[in-house]
Amino acid sequence: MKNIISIFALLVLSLELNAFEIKSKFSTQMTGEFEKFLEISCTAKDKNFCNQLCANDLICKVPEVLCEDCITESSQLMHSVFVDDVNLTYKADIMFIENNQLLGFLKNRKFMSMPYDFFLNKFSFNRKEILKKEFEKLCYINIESATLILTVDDKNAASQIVGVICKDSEGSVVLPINLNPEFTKQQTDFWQILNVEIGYQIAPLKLKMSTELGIAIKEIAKESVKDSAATIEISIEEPAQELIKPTACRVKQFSDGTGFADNDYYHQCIKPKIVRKKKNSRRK
Amino acid sequence: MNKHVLKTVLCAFAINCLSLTSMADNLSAEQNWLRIGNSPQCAVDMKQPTDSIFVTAALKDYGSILVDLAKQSNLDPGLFAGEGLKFYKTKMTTLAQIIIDGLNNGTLNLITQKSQAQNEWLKLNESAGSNKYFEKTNCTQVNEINSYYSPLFLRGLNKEVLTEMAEKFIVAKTQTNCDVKNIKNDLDLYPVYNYDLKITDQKKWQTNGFEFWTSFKIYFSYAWRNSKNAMIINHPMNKWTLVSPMEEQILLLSNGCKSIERPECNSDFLSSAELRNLFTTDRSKLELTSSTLEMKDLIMDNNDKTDQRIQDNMKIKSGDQKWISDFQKSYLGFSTNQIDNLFKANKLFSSMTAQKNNLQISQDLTIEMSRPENFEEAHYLCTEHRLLTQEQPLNVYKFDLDNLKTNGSKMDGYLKFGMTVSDILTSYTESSRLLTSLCEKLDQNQKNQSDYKWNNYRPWYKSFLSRYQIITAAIEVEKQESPPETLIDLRPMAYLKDQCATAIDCHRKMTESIVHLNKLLIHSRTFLRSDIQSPPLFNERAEKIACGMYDPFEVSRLNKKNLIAGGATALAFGFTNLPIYLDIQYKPKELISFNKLVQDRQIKFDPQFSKDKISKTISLSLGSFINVPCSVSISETDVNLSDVNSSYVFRGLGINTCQAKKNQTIESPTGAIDVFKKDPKSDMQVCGQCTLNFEKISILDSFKNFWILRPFIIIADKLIKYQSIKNDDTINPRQFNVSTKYLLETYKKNNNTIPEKCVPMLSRGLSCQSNICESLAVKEFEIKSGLSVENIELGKSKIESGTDSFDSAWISVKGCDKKMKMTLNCSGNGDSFWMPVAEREYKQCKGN
Repeated sequence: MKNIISIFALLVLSLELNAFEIKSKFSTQMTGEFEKFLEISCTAKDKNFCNQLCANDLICKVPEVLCEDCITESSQLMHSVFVDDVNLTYKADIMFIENNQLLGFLKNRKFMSMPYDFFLNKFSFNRKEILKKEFEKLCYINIESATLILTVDDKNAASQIVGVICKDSEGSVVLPINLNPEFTKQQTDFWQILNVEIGYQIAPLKLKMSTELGIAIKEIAKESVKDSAATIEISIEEPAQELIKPTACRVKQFSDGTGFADNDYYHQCIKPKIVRKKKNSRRK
Repeated sequence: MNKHVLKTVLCAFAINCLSLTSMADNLSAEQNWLRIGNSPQCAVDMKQPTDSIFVTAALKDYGSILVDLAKQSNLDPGLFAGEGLKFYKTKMTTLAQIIIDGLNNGTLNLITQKSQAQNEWLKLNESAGSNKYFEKTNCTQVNEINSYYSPLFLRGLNKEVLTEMAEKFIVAKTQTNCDVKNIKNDLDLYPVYNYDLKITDQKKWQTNGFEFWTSFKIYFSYAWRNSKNAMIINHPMNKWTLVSPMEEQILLLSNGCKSIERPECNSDFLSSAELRNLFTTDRSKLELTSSTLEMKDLIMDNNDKTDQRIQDNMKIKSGDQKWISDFQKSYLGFSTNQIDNLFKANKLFSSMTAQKNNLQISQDLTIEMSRPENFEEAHYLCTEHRLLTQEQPLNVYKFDLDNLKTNGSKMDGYLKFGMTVSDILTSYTESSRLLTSLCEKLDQNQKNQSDYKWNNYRPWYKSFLSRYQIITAAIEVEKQESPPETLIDLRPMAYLKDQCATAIDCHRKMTESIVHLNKLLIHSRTFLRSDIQSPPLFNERAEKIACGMYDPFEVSRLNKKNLIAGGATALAFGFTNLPIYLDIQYKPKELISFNKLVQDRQIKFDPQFSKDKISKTISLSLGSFINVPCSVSISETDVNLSDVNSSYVFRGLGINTCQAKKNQTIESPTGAIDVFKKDPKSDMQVCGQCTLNFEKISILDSFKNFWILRPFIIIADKLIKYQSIKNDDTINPRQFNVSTKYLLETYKKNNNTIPEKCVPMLSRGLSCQSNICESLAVKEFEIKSGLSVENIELGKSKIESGTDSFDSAWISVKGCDKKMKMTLNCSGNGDSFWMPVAEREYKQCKGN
């Protein structure tokens, strides 16, 4: 199972949809002047992204906020990230945030990025190497670095861990983060937390999944609409001749034809039981 | 400048120097007073608002964040952190001064709620009003906080104490004030500042002092984040002072015995006893107590040795100056452990619910508990579970579980995700029901008690039971001869990922979580620190007084009436004539628990019965009250405590009802102390107080009934002799006023030491002369003339008067050659001293 996920994720990252790089950076002066920001460098291929973000084709500096009253032992959030293994509490979604949504987030939201060697981490000075591994595990596959994104409210207080920047030699993607279903039944809808619209219509879903995940979706078996949410069933065939058993994937759809995937979307669609089938078998 | 510093330092030593300022003004300007009290005096003082505080900070985390940041930025870490620390300290002192001044001149009103701070703060820049309480404040940087506190533990004055004080006084002169220019960019991570208010209106201060400090704390928190001060908000380092809550870094301590917070008998206040335990060397064994009753018990067990213990810990453990940093580290570390327990409980219950459904859990547990190979662990589970849920009335844990249900949601603010405390409790209650029935079945399969290993119980259970030695003996558990090692569970944590091995294991951990939550709730204000804390760290009797367990004047009161707590409504526990006798040697000033009486060997058991059996009966009957502080009640109102023909037999334990308590308000003979503000709420808090009832029986009767007992019958001549206590300095509140001028003069004149013969004179506020009459004459002359005496000789005109009786004095003063002759009357200990001093007599020397 893990294999499959890894393979998918690998594919996600190797799609080269994003070639831009996101780095968490800061600069400090002796007098205390300080700047924390994300540095985003684009290649010719995705210069549009940078251009839209900061009117520069090559490089953008997105300012961050330093959280206030957040570095405390009584913060469950910091505890879950720096004291506990972050993977116990959180789980990243396998589908990365689309560029236009990422743009919206970077432009409109107050946030702070936290790399494994975050200088504000006073909770586990000696755990840096372990933290690096734990953070990177959120990204599913071997990558160079993983950096958490924490939203910050209007009083600069820490709100939520909403995403992880996974960076490898090809570039960076941001995966949305949700509470680990093994930790709690609570569903925090990361799409809402992010306050970015991620809209899919049912019709393009097949295409989207095929292209983004690099898997062949054989067919969409059933469509039904109830309570303004459409449920579809899909069957997925992947190159390793393993067929994923079709399961229900709920996709909410609104009257204007737009909609968004429920946050269980991938957990339901990608993680279902694997049914080995003969090479040429087909499912009706 | 010297004088300025001098006064500040004086107040540091002196517990109440300010109330004496008017007296000091009558003396020469150089004169100041050290008011020194013994421990009971300290207890008396604690109900007054302090006029001198220490603002301390623990900046280790702040400092290490800056060092880390500098390293990652290729800056010099020492220099960068130094600058950051300097700013933090400057911000602290600047804001503290602004707020103290604002509260004094009326631009900031006294407030009690955080929500009031903003509006009030906006008014701060309006024109200043007139000073309400004091004319000025002194702020000094404190290098050695120890020297401030050591006089608090005095048992009396002797030459060693006075010599030490003179030395410290000279050292302390070198202190610097808190001006911005004096704050250095060094790496001192534990700065301490002393704010000393020169109170002018004592009456107003007594009325509003506590509200003054409450307001100070609220404004300080608010201003830290919302300062208007340009120097602060424009400083680039300011943001680093905001990343962590300042309440976790800054701690206020009272300089001396007076209080910052009004002493009230509630769990916040009782937690101070726990804080004080952080001084102990073995913190790993420290556990929070889990109920208000237990807390009171803890306080009761702190006897006079505590003063010495705190002082020893301060000195021995961390060298002369470092105890404050050591304490701060312990405080922070311990708080961290406690909050971890909350997160652990949240994680355990949340993931249990997320990964397993209820039906599955109960099936798993039922199956596991029915398997013989699991009986042993199931037994531990059931025993632990029973302690938490047993239905015995007045059970400590039962009491607390209800409290947790009512107030547990207060801790939800610390939980961002996972289950809330009330969810956790609901889930626990559910599983608890099933457990109770499974445990009943298990009882039928019980093995021998001896098959169960003490070490295999979970730590909370062991620590709870170890407090109750009688119970421990009664259940015949393995004795703790070897230190209880925490057994490492080598089983794979397979049942619940990374958390528990089996369903039984999970349930034991759940039970433990509830105990931890409960402890945390009781101590939450002290250990989760959402407000600036100001615990009475060094006044060990603070909680005793607040909870009516200690009355500094009780000894003198006892001289008037016998020790009788009669009148209390007794709640009979249904057993009488237990073969237990009281060997009354307890100190009348203390409340005492049954358990403590046993430990101190003041309770004797009839040897005819097996001690273990009696223990068992007692522990079952008294329940948790076995360790609760009670007063001792003897059934006759006119007990003659020296009656040799009496003996006392235990009649059980009674609980004071709230109404009864109302009638038992402690009255002090001087009226100087009374119980703190009585309201229905605080009455409720002492409802649990109890009496241990003993009935006087004649020796003849007891011989008749228990004739085997002969050697054990306790003869009443062992009863404490109240009269002998009367003059004991360590029990009665005592205070001494020592003149610093005379102290230092004596110290310098005698090669930096204080001679024995000077002690009685100095402790009466006099200078050290060859006899008391000379001392009195010097003082009288100096007060009247304002001059400083250089030499004095007494004379007598009548031969027949005794050797120590005088009627004249020759006085010379500094810088004046003329000897002045004065008439006086003085003899013996100076009781009849009289000396008129007229201006014409010293006028000629006055001009100099």
